Amino acid sequence: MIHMKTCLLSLLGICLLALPAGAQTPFLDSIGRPDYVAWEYQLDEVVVEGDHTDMYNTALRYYKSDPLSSSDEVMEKLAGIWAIKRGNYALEPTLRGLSAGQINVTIDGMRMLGACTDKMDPITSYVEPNNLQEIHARPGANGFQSGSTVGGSFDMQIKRPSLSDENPWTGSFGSRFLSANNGLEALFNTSYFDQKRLAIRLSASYRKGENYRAGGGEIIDNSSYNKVNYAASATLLQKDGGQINLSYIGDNAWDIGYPALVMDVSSARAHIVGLSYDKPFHGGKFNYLTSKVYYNHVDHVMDDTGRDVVMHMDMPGNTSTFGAYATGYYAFGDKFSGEMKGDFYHSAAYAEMTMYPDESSPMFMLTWPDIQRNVAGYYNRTTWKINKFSSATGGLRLEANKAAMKSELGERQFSVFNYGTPTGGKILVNANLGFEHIFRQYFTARASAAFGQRMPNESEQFGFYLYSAYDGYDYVGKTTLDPEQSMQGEIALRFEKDKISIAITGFYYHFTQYIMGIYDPSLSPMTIGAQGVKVYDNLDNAQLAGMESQIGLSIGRLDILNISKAVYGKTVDDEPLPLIPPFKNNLNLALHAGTSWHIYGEVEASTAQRRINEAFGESDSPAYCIANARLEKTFRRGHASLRLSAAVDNIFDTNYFEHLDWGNIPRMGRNIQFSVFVSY
Amino acid sequence: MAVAAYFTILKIMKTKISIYFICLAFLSIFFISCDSNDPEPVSELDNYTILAEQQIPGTTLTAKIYQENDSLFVGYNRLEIVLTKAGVKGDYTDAEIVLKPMMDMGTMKHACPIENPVAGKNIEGVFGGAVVFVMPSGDMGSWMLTIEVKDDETEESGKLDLPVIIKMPEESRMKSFSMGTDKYFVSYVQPSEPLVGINDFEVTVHKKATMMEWPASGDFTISMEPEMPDMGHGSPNNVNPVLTADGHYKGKVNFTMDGYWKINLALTIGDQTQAIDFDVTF
Repeated sequence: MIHMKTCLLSLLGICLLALPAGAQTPFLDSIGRPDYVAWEYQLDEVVVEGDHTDMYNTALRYYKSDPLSSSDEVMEKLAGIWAIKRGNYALEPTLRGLSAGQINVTIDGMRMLGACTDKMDPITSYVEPNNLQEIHARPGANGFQSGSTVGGSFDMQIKRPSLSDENPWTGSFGSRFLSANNGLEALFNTSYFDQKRLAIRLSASYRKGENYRAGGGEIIDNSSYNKVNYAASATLLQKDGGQINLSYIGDNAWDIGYPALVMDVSSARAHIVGLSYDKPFHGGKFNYLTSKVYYNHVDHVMDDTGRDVVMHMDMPGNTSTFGAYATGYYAFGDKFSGEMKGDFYHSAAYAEMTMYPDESSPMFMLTWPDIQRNVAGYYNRTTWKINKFSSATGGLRLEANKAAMKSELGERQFSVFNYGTPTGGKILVNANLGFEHIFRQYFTARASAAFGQRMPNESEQFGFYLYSAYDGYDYVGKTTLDPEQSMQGEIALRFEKDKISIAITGFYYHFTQYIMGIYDPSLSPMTIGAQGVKVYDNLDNAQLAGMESQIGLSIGRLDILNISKAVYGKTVDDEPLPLIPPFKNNLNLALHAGTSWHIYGEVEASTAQRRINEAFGESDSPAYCIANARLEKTFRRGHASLRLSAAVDNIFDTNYFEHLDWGNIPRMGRNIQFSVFVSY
Repeated sequence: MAVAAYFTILKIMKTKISIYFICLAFLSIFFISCDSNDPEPVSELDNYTILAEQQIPGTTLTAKIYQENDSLFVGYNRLEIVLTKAGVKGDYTDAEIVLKPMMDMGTMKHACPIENPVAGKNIEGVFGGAVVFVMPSGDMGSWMLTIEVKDDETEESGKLDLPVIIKMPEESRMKSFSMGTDKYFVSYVQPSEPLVGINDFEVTVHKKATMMEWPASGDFTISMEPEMPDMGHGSPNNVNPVLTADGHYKGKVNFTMDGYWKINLALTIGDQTQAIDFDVTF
């Protein structure tokens, strides 16, 4: 009950604070700003610069920009984004309730595939805030820059070496302790610039956690993890202003527990390499080029030796992706500006499963039978500044996308379903049109319409008896799936004046050929104890509607940011669309005493989700409300600073879980954290 | 206006830097695939084991007898016989071959179901037949396989007596049961090399009429269901075996993975049903 009170008080607080709009101060610049319909989150460690012009990011810093936070902690807080949780590690982002193949998650624009058939390793788990510069989230079919999509894109931009001309050496190091799982985290990064041509950045992070304690005291077995992430980046400056950058990220995680699943992970390893070339142009219509070639590889090994299982299984998987893109930005007079991009990638995904019964021979099958995909796309966006107050933007992406199974065994495995000729290559079309108008300087309205298409992903088209612990069904891909399509409309309103910033977005998606797993009673499940088998199929249609709002206030030394998000979905039969999270609200408060003391508070609340799809295997989720707080003190000497912080998450030790959490496993209980962070 | 602007931009890009060209290059790499499968011709008999190669007494014929597996076993054994005749080039087919297997148990003798070889049945120029051995060699008795050959051109005939050792396979390939007063023998024929995917499935059913007469039985309706006993699951879209000829029932069995499978069969005549199963491991 105590947390209910907290929530009510917090809501009351925000109502009162919303009333005055006082004197002139610089404002919340970054709520959903720079890029068209995109939200851009600066994660750079803004180690207290004194003024708080960028209040949104100040609030973000509460957790999000803290380099010691995990990328999971970061993304969960963002507008329009919920996270699917399977363990205390590697949360999977969903944009407005859409995930997996419906959205494009990229690292610096690089395509990459997680190597786990059970989605234990969304690629967000292979980067660390320590090497993250920004997150660009572009929800909906508008986010098709990096690939055809119906759900949007989520791009994590990697940090490059600092080109500071004040200080050749910059860097930071720090450590954090977490009480709920005896967690220990440590990181360092250092950047060197020779003030002429060469800049280098090295960084590493280490995280480990033991089985965590949920609210109320229950210890969640199989929830520990260990992880090391290391990165190196070198930039060579050209005389003509061009920059060549070579970067590498290595990520090595081991003994990761997934309490919601029947197996854990003994090792997950990724290597990510990118070589990019950027060049500004002056005086011409064409003003900037950015390009990259890249390669990444992921090895993932599941492990059930720590579990009490009926039968031991081995489930290794790996993926490789290589690709390239080049984007050119142009401006034509004052009226027209835009970008054009060409991109290409090739990906390969392989996963197998061997089961070892006690007394008979091993059983073997390919769960991802060497699935290879080739994609080439062309993207263009042009913005037309009609007058001082109005602008229109149109975008188009054409993409050739072909996936095929290259394993003969895989083909034989699928032959038993009599599906017929697999879907071949497709030309996908994504397009959008938006109009923006500024009323009376403070008020901006934007309306956009978009059409998006996406190919079924590896599991949906070629996955073979993949067990989902969320609903307890085995999933079989359908080789003949058609692309999923969506028509979308979105209206965004923003009011910005002095100390107030309010942004509200409403959206409506109408899907056709919606891809969803449908129970097939004629198939018997392979996994022992599974409820049945679902085969992916194209539903006639499905609908999704929702809203996000971000309200920011700055009152003297107090910054307030409230982020709300809600989605509502239904299938063709008027049934609730499954895996749709309920309304969630994050209220952040930041109080700054001078430039060295900071107090942050957060109240996170979610309503119950009772619109569930029972046929899908969903169950109700209750409402919850938790509160977090942090106290921070910074000491400075010259360029260097030392930051000490103490934090308590889930202050009232609430036992709760979110609707998208698998297995309804309660999240962490009261979690006291101490951190030390030094930057120079 | 907008269109004009766009084309100008393209022009600029072409001259300044070849982004556009790069885009095109990306597109052109797409949809490239090559398949090269040139199967080498192999004689089917290369994979067979030679059971015997002998001149038939009283004729100018020589028989080379092949068995499908390394050894003969309790169940359906396919035999392929190549005849050659002195002075005649190539395989000789103008002949008749009769198989007469006999189990000598001391106090009694019995035969077993056979399919007499017919030229070109499976392989051109080769006599294809089968013997369904119903029990193994051993302390109970021993098997003799007599092959009678008649040269239709010369009317000469002769026979070979081949003592054969019949083994009990690790996974049973023949099941017998009584229904009413009759005793039936169901033998597993295919898939001899099971694979993941769709497999031809074939069994034979024979009836023991007398000790010496074992005719094929086409009276059954058969339903089939494969399962993986270790996992408790089956596979979809199997086709029940139906009678094709001479007690052969053919259908399709689907395996979704490697490992140990049990193929359950229910054989029905009228209101009587008998359940049997065959184990398959691969």
